[in-house]
Amino acid sequence: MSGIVKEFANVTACDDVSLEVAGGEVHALLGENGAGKTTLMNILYGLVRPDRGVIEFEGRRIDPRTPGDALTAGIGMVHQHPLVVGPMSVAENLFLGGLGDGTQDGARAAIAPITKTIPLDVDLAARVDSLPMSQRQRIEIVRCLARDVRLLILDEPTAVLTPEEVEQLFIEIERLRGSGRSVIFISHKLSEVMRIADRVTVLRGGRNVGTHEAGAMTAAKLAAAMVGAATGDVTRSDGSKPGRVRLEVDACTITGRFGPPELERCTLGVRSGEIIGIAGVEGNGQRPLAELLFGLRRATSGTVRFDGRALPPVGRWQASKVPIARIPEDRRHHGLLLGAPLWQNLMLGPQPPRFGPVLARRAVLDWARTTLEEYGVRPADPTTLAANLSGGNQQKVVIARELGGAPEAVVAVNPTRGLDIRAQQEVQERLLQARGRGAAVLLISTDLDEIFALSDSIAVLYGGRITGPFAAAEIDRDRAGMLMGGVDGG
Amino acid sequence: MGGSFGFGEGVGALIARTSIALAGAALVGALVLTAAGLDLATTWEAIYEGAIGDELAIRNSLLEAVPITITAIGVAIAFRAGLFNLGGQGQIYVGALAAVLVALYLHAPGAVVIAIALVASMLAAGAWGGIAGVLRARLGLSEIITTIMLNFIAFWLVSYLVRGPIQDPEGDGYPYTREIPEPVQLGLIGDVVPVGAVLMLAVGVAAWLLMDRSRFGLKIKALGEGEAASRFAGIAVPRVTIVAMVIAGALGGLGGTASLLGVQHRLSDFFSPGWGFDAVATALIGRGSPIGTLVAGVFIGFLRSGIQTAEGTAEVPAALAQILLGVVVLFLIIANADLVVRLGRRLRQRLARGRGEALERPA
Ligand SMILES: Nc1ncnc2c1ncn2[C@@H]1O[C@H](COP(=O)(O)OP(=O)(O)OP(=O)(O)O)[C@@H](O)[C@H]1O
Ligand SMILES: [Mg+2]
Repeated sequence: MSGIVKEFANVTACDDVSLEVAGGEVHALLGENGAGKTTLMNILYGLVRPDRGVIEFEGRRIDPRTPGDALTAGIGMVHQHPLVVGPMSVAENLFLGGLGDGTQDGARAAIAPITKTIPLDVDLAARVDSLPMSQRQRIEIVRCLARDVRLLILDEPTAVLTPEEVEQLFIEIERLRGSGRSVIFISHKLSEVMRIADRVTVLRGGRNVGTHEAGAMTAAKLAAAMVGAATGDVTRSDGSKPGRVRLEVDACTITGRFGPPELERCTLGVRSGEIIGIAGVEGNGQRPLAELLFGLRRATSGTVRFDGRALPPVGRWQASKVPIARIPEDRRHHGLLLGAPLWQNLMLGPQPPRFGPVLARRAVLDWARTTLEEYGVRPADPTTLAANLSGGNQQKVVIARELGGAPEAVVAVNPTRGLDIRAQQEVQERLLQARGRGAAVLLISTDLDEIFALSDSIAVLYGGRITGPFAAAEIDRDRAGMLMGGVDGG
Repeated sequence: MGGSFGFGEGVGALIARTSIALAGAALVGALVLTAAGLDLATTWEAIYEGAIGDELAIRNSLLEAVPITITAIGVAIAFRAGLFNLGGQGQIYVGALAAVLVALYLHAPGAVVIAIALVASMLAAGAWGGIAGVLRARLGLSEIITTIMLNFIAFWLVSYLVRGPIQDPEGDGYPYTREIPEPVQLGLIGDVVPVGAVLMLAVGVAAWLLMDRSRFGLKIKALGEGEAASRFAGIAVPRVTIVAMVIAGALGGLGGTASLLGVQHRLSDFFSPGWGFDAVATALIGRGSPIGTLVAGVFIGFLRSGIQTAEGTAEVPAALAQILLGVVVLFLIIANADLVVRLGRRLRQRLARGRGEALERPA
């Protein structure tokens, strides 16, 4: 790709970018949120038309106008947010991707050549929206490979994966490389990039600021290249004195439709001024636990209380002004109204300011702009549609909305997923600030580093049961790791 | 229906789009008329005269616009909640039925009866719309289907009543009620402006306040943008759904009643010539915005009135007149389709860039 330019109404997402990927190479693309990574890849995959620039693939000039064109040329992409169609079965989704005939047998036959090297391990009859992200992603990868793709673009594939799943993915990427295919790999995790990439290109503000041999770089140098300055880690002050229990999960059980209960007698109390981290491998009850705390689901038995009173069902949260910030896992589905401007999204928070009975447009927009600026959302224009923000900036909007009103409790699920290092740090600092203000913070995260960096106490979720919490000083990574694997090494 | 209408696109773009659509419609209309052997100049003049030629024409045009516009504003509000209210017809009939019962059988000073009739029609039609809302919110039934079914029920209910229990005994067997008493009829303000037109304007402003300046309006729009995210945010989704349908129904009833009290003065089973569906087209042209719908409705009222008059004066066959009307509405809807709007926006950006000007603020 050379000289690629793409301007959107108010930003230049790609500003004369050139990028070269060799055959059989894993090429990492790095850059802050909004640097233009996804846009550049969307151009390559025919989802976005560039204003200027030339794309050549295998010596031929190509001009993909649709993903179909790109696939025909041999370029496949697994999007940042898997695009599979939710309410249909895996087999049907594969059929929509041109594989098989919509039946399980047909699908199995169509993907057989690929699954020999890359197993799908997915129930073909399952509805896609019931599957964890990792499996949805795998469906997408298989779907691309079945079309004989020679260049596979993976946009932040690891953001939705557990550490084991990342390992699995890396093995698959190695295999692809071994077979002479090229992979473009986007990630905010420098350690991953250092491990898997042959070369690294850094984008900043829509420009290519350098392509490097991965071997010649260090994570610190890459970080500096990305943001133009070195970054540090967040530090948690140990001085805070937790107060009384605000948020309580009391002996909650959710029975599964079939099989074992999704949650089993979970009990947990979060005091004001403390962060409790819930570690665990995805799929061990994080989702039901979060849904319980978000008011989206009721426990089969047991209650969730705030200040001693049972939480109302979610439909009454706005009316009863429950002062709990909720950062959902799926920001595009739950967090944001993608088709609405940012100011409207901000107004949906738990505690938007009172503007009086008649919402004065000027006042609302000013407030929204200030909030967006404060939380570093780019662009900080409240009339931008949420759909037009980069993934990381969308998450920042959710954070701004939820934490902006000084909530008394916070429930956050993987809040820094998909954020660049600086933004990640900002969000973590926000959570610490909330704690400093006396909020009761519950952090459910599959990122063990994050759990250890932020939590005063740590509990582990495994198979729907909670072990702990333990004071952060009393549990180390090894112990947590064992508990996460279901081994009680106490 | 772009989600951000109302504070997105500039007025200039709106006018440009509409003008292009009207030019297109005029062209196709001219072809149709020429093909039918009609003289263009006389026809256009007749339409123009019929729409705004003199005070009488303006008054008639306004009267034509009132029921369509008020109903359309209700449809627009439901649109924004993501609900397709095809039940305007039924809501109009139910509302007018409630109003005619009050007007005929309640004996009180004229103003009091009018007020009660208006309220009664809104309550009855609101409940009628609310049925579809409840079925959608509680049972997940598509309002597209249920509102159409409710149309049939309402129509045949009125049809039965005006041929039996409340038929005009001196009406030579025609399917209509007695005429409502003089003091209950809505007259004119001055010589030109019908009271109904003032009502229409008031509804437009109230709807604008609701949708663009109130928290409840935000909830309605949020629901239309994404049910899952709205639910997550703690919005009472079923309640908002039901209320949006109640509002839509109530406005349909009000629209019908404005015509009942202001023009027709009796309920018949040919009372509404399809206003409920005109309202859907109007709300689409207005892109779901209250003010846009108000403007679109008034325009369509004038156009209808003009074309209908031309039927008489320029001897345009009735079927051709309807075709003309259909052409204009279709062109306007096309011009307001999201795709067209988006293409227009892109073109505008290109032009701006080509001229080296600062880019306009995006939607
Ligand atoms: N359809 C669009 N309309 C307007 N602006 C857009 C659109 N798509 C992307 N942008 C803007 O282009 C810029 C680059 O976005 P892009 O999604 O490529 O970033 P990214 O590098 O992938 O970031 P992230 O790491 O957060 O995913 C951002 O400022 C974004 O707001
Ligand atoms: Mg991205």
